[in-house]
Amino acid sequence: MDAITVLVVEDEPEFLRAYCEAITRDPGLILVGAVTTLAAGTAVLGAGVPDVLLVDLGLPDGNGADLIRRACALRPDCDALVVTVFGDDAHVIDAIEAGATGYLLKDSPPAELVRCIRELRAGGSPISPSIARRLLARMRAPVPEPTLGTSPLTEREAEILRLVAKGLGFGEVGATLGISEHTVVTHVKKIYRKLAVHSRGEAVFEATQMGLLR
Amino acid sequence: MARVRTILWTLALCCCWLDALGQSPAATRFLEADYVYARSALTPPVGLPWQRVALPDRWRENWPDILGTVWYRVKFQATPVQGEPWMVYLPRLREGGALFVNGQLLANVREPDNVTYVRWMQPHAFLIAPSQLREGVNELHVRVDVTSDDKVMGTITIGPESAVRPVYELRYFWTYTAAQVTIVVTLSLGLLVIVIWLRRRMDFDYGLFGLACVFWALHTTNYVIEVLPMWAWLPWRVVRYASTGGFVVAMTLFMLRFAGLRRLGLTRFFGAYWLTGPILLALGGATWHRWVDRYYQAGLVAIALVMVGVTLLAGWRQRTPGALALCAAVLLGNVLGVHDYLLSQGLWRDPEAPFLLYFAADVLLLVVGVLLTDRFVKSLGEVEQANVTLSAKVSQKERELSDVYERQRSGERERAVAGERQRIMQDMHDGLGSQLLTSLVAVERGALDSKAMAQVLRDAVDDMRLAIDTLSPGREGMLESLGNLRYRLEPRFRAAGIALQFVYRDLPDPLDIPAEVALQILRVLQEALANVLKHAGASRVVVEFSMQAQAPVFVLAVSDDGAGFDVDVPASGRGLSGMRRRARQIGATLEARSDAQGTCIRLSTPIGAPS
Repeated sequence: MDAITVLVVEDEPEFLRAYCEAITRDPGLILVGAVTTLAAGTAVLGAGVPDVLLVDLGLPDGNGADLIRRACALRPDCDALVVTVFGDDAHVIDAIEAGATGYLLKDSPPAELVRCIRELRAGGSPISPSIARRLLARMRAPVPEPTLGTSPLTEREAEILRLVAKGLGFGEVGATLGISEHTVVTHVKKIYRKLAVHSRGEAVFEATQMGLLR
Repeated sequence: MARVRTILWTLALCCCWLDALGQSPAATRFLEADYVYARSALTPPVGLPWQRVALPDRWRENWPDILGTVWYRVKFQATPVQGEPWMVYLPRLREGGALFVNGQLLANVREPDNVTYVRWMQPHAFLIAPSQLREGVNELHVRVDVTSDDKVMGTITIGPESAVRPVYELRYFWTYTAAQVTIVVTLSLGLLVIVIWLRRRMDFDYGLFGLACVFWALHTTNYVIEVLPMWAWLPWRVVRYASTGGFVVAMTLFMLRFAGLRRLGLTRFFGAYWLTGPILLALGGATWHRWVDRYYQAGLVAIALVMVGVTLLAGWRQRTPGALALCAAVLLGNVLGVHDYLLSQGLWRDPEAPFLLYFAADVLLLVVGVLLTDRFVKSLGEVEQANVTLSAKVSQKERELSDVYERQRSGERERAVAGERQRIMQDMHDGLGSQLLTSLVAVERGALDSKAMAQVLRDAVDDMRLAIDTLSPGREGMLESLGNLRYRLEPRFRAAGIALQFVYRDLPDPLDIPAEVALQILRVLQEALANVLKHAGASRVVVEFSMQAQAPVFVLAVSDDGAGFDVDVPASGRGLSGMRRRARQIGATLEARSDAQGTCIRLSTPIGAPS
């Protein structure tokens, strides 16, 4: 399997150093860049989009979500991993709508960071009960665009979100539904992708409504 | 409206009457006649000494104490136009009799006898065929039986039919048809008003008006009932005086109330007087009739004069169109009432003039009816207005109430927010604050190495995460917060190689536990799990939640298969004292059991009990 390329965008030096160390220590990962601003991150993306983008949302010159959006537009299979201080729902949801497929607490141990990157590339995404509940609410929200339907989620995906929202672990969810833990996180990643598309659809719809697009 | 029409009709006919009299030179009204006593009932007597007498001939004045059969005779010149019949017209033939033309019977008008009372109020007129007349002087005989000195022989009018009939028909209308119309109209109106008044007890004015109408209808029957069995005569007279008196008294009481003079004494006095006449007549019988007729009715005229005075007083005080109209009607009524009284007592100039009071009474009732209708409509309008005002007031009160409620609620909200802030402040002070402060002191005296310091900071961050996660708005219950805690801690247990298992037993969904209670429970759980990570050397930890539904008590049990420790030695307590303090805060009990096979921490929290 090819080594995974990673770009780190983080304005706090301590965390930047910790992330970089964890990545460079792992032989399967290649650090292609470590920058502290949105502008620098954008510039690196211009030279080529890495497999994984590790990004802090609160950058000094802008929102990390913009970087995620750009990266996913340039390379749809790019995995964006958001680092947050408290795992607060609103920011995470924003990032997922921008195209992120994973999020990580800022103080996670290096091993957890590496495990998360590998899981992302293997097709899975983590999710907490609060995020699951928020996603359910978002996806249920009626969308006027007829081609998008009222809920883009499959029944299986909605069931997974409901179980996670009730506090069940991935293993328990898998056991309940008769699937493997890995299949569960794969479904979660699909849901993330759908939310990104979903939110873009909403944006297009709203823009049309406002007369910006014809 | 019917009554208005009647009045207009009457006025029109009145004009016709005068007109007709003026254009009938051929008709002769006899103001005197020849007269004689005679027993012969079959044919006009011959050869008796006729005497001259003025018509109308009142027996009480001219022939007191003389009763019997009397013949009247008038002679008239007939110049009959070929084929036209003549007509004899007698405006008052109250007790009937027989008419003869040139010795031949013309007509019999029913007379009273032992079993039948007869009193003709309507005029009489009979056609004389041309064949019964002769050129030159003709004779008309009228035979009457005089049974009481009440008898009056009225005037006699003779002439061609075309000249006499209009006069007769006009009198017929005035004395008979108009009375019938009055009876029907006032009786219907009175009963209607009384029924309405009984159903809706508004002002007694309406009741008085209804009574007055009914009394007036009964009174007016006097003018249309002419023949009745003798046994019914006395009751009928009683009813007649009761109704006449009732009408006068009811109208007087109405006027008193209209003028604002509501004296119970007056009401009782008039009511009592009203009853005297009919009762005297009913008890005393026919012998009292003349006295009741004369003096009781005179008293009624006096009461009516009181009514006039009261009405004029009200008119003077109120000066409203209604009051003035009442004044006019009452004055008219009293003038005509006096006229009728004089007429009935033979004191009027023309004894054959028609009785007029009921027309004036009709006018009075009409005015009162209009006034009361106007008042009724106005009060309806006032009720509607009151309803509008009331609903406006109600909606205003509603607004005020909702304002008060809103203020109350916002006050409650503010108190709740203040209480919440107080709790969070207290929590930060006792928890995170003192934890950081203790560590700071330890660091400053060099008692903490960097690993221990990292642990302190990690604990602080974990506690803060827990607080944020549990207290942030929009959480759906404790299970979500539990899941979040597990999601956060799972990587650490994975890294430490410890299997972390959550077991939910009989938990309601959603699990509704107040956020501050949930926070303390989760803190105990987090502390217990941290202990397992740090000290136990366990390979497996089971977190079990259950609900004892009866109490209800929420039970959390954390069991590991680690080395265990002595739960009774404070130094090795591993945060047990902190957990116990938190348990106390929420009224929960904490049990700790530890041996070589592992440790079990069990927290039982009553739900819904005051913490």
